[in-house]
Amino acid sequence: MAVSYNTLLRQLALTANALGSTVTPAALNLVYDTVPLTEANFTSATASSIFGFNYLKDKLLNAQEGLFMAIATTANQPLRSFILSQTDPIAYAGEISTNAAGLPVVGAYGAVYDSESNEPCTLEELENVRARHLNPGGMFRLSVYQYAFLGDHVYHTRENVIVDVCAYERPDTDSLDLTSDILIPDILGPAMVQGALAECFRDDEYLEQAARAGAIYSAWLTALKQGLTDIQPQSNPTPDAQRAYAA
Amino acid sequence: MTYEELCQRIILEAQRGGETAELANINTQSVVEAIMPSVLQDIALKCFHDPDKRPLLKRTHTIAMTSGVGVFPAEALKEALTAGMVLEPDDTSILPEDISYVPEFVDFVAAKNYEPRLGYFCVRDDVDFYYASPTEDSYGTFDGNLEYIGHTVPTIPADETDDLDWPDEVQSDVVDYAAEILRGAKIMV
Repeated sequence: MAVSYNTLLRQLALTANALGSTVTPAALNLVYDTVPLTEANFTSATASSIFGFNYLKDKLLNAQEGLFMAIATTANQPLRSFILSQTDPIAYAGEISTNAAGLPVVGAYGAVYDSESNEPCTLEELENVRARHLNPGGMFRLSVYQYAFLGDHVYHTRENVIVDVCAYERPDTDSLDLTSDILIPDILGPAMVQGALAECFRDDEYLEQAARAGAIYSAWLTALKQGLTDIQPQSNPTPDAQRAYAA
Repeated sequence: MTYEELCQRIILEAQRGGETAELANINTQSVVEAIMPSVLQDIALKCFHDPDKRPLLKRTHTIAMTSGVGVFPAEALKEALTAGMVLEPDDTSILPEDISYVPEFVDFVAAKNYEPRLGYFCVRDDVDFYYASPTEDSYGTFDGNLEYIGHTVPTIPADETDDLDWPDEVQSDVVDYAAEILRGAKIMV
């Protein structure tokens, strides 16, 4: 079962003491179990005068953004498979700007496939890919599956390729459906709460709690960016790996 | 065997052995096609030089002659002209052993002065194929088709899925030879 924004918001709100009408344990449970939470749960006389409903949602989205980028920018992160999407077919030298759903691409690029056969392509030196593309005198007859990245463009030896990418667009706070799932893997729900909590301070209020949450959140980010050690080695070294091996 | 299969065999054979050998052959898909013309020319020369392989890669080419001159086929090896043979398909009474290759054009021009009963052929300026028929007194008169039989560089198929029209022995030699080159050996042309 996926984690919804509401599940995280109620944890965040309780820790930041932002839920209203919670003067008794029974009332607290009643509000805590409300799905979805609404602004009314944050506006009663006993609610927090510091943290409002949309403020907490904003902080949750901030934290989600940080975690999403930590995964997206770490090319061999095992959790990338949870947030991967695909581009539309891209021709030679095409730009990798959005995924097929039109969302902006962020982070490192993933695998590249032939758009017709789904055969995976191999990373190759740009010079070799370009030579194949130009094919002087028709000297190349073999079908090869190779690609190279240069900036945000992909150069390849197929007619069209599809690229695995991470694409992100920040959900709108006001229209956020709290019953919808978060954009990152469920196991990062606690990290998302800590990340939001790290920004929940005002003037000199809640500073110690925010600092503690910030340290936990930062540890999550660091761990995510170090996640490449769990990845299986590639079956064949890329030219870059070949050079690294020879060095 | 298709051209695609041939290249794949070459790559796999080149990658046999240890890790260093494999690492040295990452980009072989492009390299194998780049070296293929040189490999095939060298294989054709080997067939010419090796008595045991001499029958391999001999092909018959038809050359249209006008006034004793035609165009020598591009894929036929000029380096193997000494093993070449010429026939006049329209006159089967003319024996191929009566027709000789003359390496130097100046000697070819003069040959009829010394033995007009024999035929001669020569290549001048890379592609100009000259022929003097045993039935004629001069080198500049023959009209019609000739057949030249000589060692010929195998043709790379137009499409990767096309079958090779080379003898199986040659295909094996190409695989072995190209694989050795991918592993660092020099082309021996």
